Amino acid sequence: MSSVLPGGPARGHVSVAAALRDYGIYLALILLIAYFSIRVPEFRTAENALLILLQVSVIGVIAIGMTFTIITAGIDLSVGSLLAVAGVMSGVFAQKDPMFSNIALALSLPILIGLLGGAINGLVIAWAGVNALIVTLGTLTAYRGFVVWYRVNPIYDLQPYYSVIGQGAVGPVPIPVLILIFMAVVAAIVLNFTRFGRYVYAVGGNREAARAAGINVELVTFAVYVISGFCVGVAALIFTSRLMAAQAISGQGFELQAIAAAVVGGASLFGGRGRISNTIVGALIMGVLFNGFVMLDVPAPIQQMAIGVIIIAAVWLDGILRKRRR
Amino acid sequence: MKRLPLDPPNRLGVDTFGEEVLAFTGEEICTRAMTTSTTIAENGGRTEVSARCVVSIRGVTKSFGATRAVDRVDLDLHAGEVHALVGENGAGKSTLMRVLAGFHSDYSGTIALDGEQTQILHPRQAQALGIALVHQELSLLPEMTVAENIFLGREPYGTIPGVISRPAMEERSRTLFRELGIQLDAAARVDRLSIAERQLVEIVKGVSANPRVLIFDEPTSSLTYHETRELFRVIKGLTAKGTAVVYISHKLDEIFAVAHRVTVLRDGARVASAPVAAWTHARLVNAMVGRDLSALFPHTPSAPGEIRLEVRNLTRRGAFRAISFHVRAREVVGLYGLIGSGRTSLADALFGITPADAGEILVDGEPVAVRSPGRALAHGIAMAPEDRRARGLVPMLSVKINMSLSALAALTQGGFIARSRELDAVERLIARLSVRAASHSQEVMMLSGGNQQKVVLARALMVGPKVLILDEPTRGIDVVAKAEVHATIDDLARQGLAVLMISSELPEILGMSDRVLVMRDGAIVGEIARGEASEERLVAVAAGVAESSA
Amino acid sequence: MQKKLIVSMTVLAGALLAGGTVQAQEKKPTIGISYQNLAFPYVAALQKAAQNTCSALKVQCIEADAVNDTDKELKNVESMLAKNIDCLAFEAASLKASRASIDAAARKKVPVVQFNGKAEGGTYVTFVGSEQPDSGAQLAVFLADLYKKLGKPTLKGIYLRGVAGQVTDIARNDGMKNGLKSANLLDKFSFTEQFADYDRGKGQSVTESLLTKDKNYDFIVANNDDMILGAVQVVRQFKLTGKIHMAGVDGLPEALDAIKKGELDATVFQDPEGQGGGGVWGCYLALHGVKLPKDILIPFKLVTKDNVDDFVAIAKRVYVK
Repeated sequence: MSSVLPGGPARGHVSVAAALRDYGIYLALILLIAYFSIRVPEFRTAENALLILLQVSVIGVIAIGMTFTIITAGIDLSVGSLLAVAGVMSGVFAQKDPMFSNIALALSLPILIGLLGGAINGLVIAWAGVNALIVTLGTLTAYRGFVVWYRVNPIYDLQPYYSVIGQGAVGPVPIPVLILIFMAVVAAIVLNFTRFGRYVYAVGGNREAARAAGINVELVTFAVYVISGFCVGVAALIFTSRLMAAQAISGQGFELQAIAAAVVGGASLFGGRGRISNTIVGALIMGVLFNGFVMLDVPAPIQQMAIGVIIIAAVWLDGILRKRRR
Repeated sequence: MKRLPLDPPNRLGVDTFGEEVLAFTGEEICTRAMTTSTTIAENGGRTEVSARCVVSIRGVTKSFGATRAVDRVDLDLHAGEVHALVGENGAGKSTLMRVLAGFHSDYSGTIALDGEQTQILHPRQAQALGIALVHQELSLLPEMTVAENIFLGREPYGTIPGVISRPAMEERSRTLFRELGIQLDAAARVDRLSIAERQLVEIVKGVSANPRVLIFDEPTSSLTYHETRELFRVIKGLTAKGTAVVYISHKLDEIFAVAHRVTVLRDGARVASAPVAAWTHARLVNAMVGRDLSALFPHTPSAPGEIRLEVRNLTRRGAFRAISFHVRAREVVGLYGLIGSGRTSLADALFGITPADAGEILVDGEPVAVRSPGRALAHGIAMAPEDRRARGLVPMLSVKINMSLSALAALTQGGFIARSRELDAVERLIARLSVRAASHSQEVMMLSGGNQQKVVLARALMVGPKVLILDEPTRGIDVVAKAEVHATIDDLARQGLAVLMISSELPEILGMSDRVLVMRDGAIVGEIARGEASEERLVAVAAGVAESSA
Repeated sequence: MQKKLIVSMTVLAGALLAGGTVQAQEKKPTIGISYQNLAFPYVAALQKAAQNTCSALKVQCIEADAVNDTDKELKNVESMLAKNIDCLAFEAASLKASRASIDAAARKKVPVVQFNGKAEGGTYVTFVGSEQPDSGAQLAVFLADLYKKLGKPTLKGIYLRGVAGQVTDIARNDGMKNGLKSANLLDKFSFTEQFADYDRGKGQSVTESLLTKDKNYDFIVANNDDMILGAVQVVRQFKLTGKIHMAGVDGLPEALDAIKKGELDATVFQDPEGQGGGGVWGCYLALHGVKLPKDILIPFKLVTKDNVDDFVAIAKRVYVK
């Protein structure tokens, strides 16, 4: 309120609140892990820890891209449908004889399709200026329609090499977990240490101010959807390889899980706020809940209620901690 | 970083110049007025003031967390009197008035209306009690008409019960406009109105409830000189009907023009309260700040250098046409014009936000193509835009990130930001502009308006521009920050920058500029040298009135 | 258990042709077909079977996809009625909310033949489909056989359910439990039940979590093939193939292949040819004045390694693309 600076005690108050705001979610994760560890002995094993990481790898990778779009005050609802397109296209070639060209296509096509799908979203959102929610709601339907039309029956009998990405491991660590960690680290570096990262925050925080600061707002907007599409492509590769089958109905509802991970991690749907590390923790919270509940044999409807309540509570708490600082 | 402790606020207000008149406590004045109910001529006989005490605030305190925004304040508002509340940003003026208007139910202390003690708990109750707050123009619903906005929430019914009558609403609006002498179309949609017209709608909305007390909080921040005079006329009409008016403003000239009584708040507490005749500019500033302030408009005339910015026949359809002028190194050129004259559009074109259709822009004699702000910056043109909240700052990001946003290209190596170099640059500017922030990592939204403005200015400076465009550089910021921003502008010009400064504040334009360009209807209609400029002359040229009549 | 008439379509049609009751008509009848959601492979197979039947019977068929939305379903049916269809072959998208479409047809005096999914209420000529509890009963047969084969006093297993509260899921659960109960075996089985939304990925994740906690399971059964195929991936990765016995429901070609490979023990075959073709057949017969029973039931069949080849042929005809 006052133009006079906050003094010693006031500053302490601010920093505690700031720490809670930024790291409260870590506390929530630790509490959940502690709870399940006490209730289920098998939960607190290295094997299970790796399993949880494996299980969140697909949503985690998608949520990384989603975090970029959410920071720019956008959203990408098309991720689930795009994942199905990328997965089926990958499957088509993963089923064929393991010649070099087929292998190359099976591995690169999902990424290229992800980039293409993201670029379509980004073009319309950035330069045609249509609201991101509307555009990606449209492509959510359109991409799904395309893949069901293209191939309604599952593609299975994929070549054995293809299972390495989703089912292989380096030592005890599954490859999807390594991919997730690698992508999260790269994304965090991009957001925190590069000019582009700064621009992403600025565009989301105040579009007009970003423009007036000399930022090419359209290009930044376009880029985040391409990044989201890229992440979807990688996730599609993991997902398809994990199941060793590609289905046109895959990925339904993934957009909501990815958004939930980012929002539970403190990303603001109004833009300007969000961290990759917190998004990953958000995804882990969901993963721990799923794994813990299944091990505890909690019925699905109760799981759903608990997860819903936890999402709302996390965002509500976030709002309170934010307000406290005013 | 922490500012030196100020003189302890004196409850009786006898601190800085200790005149007898300041020694009245509010209670005495109010009691006397209530009991005698006489009409006294205060104010040097300027106005006959009926001194019936309408509102009597005693010991009101309102805290936000650990901060006391309003600290045991006494205040009396009299019928037919304009009571100015002044103080720096954060002094508690707005909070005190929001308590009175029912927005903060958790205050302590007492409020009496016409002698009757009342607990004001919510805005509707305050409205019912006859207390109206004129908001900034932002609280209007843009999709609705003027009349619908004025009667929002208390729409009159027509002949059919339960059905709102639009004609009745518009008719009553027109009556109000007539009474107040305002020209407005009651049926026009608000989003078609200028900002000044929206401000008038807010005022009419406040007046339409026939309030006992009407509070204006910075009503002229987006009004031109003439519109401000219009507003004063409206206020005089209201006081003549016996309304008690509270007038909050940073603009001291306005205070002297309109107020009968002035109360100064500092750090939430009342410092002094006295009839306007007892105040001078210097005393007001002194009371607000707690110390003497060096010149508000520092100006160091120096020999202008070579031409840095030249504009030839710049035109953008529907905004401005055939604009030609130049700005030299070490020169501050003021750009004055009424709202709608095209001055902000011109600034936006020079900076590439909305590029011009035709014409030339030259920097240091070289023609440059300014298609976007990014290109403008690359050519050495920087701008601190008009509305710092809407177009200047990214609110949730830190001081540092906001400051370096335009200069990142130079601070980047291989895509990565050179953090230590960035931090050096930021710290240098924080020191140079005396930005008061807890640290460079504080959210910019948490700073006062003046410090926010300095951050916007710092961003423009960090790119090392040749030409600096300032659009309303001190709007809505307190007097200390204003003086500091002015000192910085003067300093920058001395170091060889070409500065183009747009302002609606005549004292600022006159005090800071070497030359003044005047715009009207999208064209430059006059250029006035520093020695020849006066408020009257500028206003006359801007309004298109013959110069001789000024 | 049930006294309803079970008739095979071929028998009925044969009787009809032999009786020579089919009158030559001047004009080819038009049959409108409304599907629940063609994004599901099983429904796509129904469509293929229906199309095959249409061309075999030389009738004109127009089709519409409700995409699991009863609103869209009603609009589809209304526009097909506007095109003057003679009969509506209808696969309900919802147990309750699909009645509106049936009523719309009844108002236009267009006969309705329901197939696969049956809506509650409304007037219809016949229902060609399967009793969902039957599929559960077939899973019970599989489990009873397994109990005999393993010779353990009790069996412990995972039961992957579909969507909580959904009709088919409840029916299959009831059918299985009742089947075990009537064989006096229910107390010999312990189930860890988790819902996996009929989704392959979710079936995989749930199985992963459960097997990480405890690998000593004798069997995994699922309310559809997608979930059990997800579980097959996990069992293979945990190197438990052959130790944990697995069965699903649907008879997808992929499940049949898995049975041949020995990764899956059984699936319960739901006959898309009988159901999808039956919808068109039902219309055809009704239009020719044949009195049909209220329910024409296509039985579920348990597929194991022994009889899997019989079903591969059917699957090849209808699961294309």
